[in-house]
Amino acid sequence: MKIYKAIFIVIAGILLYPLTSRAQLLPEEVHSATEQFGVDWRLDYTAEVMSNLAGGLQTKTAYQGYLDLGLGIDLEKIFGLKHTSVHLNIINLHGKSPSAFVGDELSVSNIDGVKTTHLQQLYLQYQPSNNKWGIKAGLLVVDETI
Amino acid sequence: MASTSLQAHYNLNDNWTLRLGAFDADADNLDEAGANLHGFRFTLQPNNYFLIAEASWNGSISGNKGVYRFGSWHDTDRFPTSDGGLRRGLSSIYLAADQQLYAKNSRRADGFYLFALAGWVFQQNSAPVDYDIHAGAYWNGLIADWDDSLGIIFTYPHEGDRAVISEIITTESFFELTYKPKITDGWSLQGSLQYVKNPGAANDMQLDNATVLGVRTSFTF
Repeated sequence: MKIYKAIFIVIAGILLYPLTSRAQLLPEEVHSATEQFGVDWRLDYTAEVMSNLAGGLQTKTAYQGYLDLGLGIDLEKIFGLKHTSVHLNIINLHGKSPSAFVGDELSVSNIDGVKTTHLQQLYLQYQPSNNKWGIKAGLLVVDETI
Repeated sequence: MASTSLQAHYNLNDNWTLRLGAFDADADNLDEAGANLHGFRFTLQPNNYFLIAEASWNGSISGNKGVYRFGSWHDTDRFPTSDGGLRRGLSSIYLAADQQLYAKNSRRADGFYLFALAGWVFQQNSAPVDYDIHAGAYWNGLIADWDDSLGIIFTYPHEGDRAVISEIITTESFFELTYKPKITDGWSLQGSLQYVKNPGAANDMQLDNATVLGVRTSFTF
């Protein structure tokens, strides 16, 4: 019963959003409806148009997009495993890379990369509520500065 | 990209945090070969490790926010040297700072900030990039209630000896002016104007300096 209510709130939230005057894209209720079952999610989308006005390889314009779907599953709420959660995110990159006509190596855009759908992270997290310490294990993004 | 990893953090107090991480360093090679296009290939017993340790300070200095990070990483993989040999292991230190210099009285997070990130690799003749600098300034809350940000950023990834084939310039650098207003919670626009000096220099291309205009929109649901 409760799960149907959650699905209903999510769909109603999306459909009714244009009618609301609230200054946010999705009403809070859409997230809290799934959070009460221990499932936390987010969806980020960035669309970008870049134009090389002068210099480089070619003066050209290209569009590219970056979709990021993240899911957090609270194992304490679901199985009673204290302070433990599973996180994953999947990214999809599409469009054309502006570096192909600017000619740069480092990339003029920070959403540029191999245009594919990619499992970016999948990890188990143990995080006591006082946040004094925490540990993550699994597939994680390598960053030279953590 | 991502690889099998173990990461931990420990908060010494309200200001200081220590972080440790160990990653599978072989994943880079898979990515470069295009053999892990969808990210499903990972191993639990890597041949090479990427190890990283960091200490960070987060607090406020006479009412102005500041974040400082000092860290070091070590990669146990084999790397070619400029004299044609191979070396095992690269080590680096880095320093990052983000400091508010002026705070708006009404909203303390608004105001003027300076930031810098600098990294240095010890094995200068093996590193593709032997040092890099990423620095700039930004102003948060330029227009009242717009939640906007105006910034200038300079990026300089210096090519190491390994990449230098002749005496030509091998390092490209980026100057960026950017403005990002928030429309509502979860929706922002961003405009950027970049000047790229010596684009493609890292690949031994000699191109005219480029001027690149960008517009993007970001949604968070």
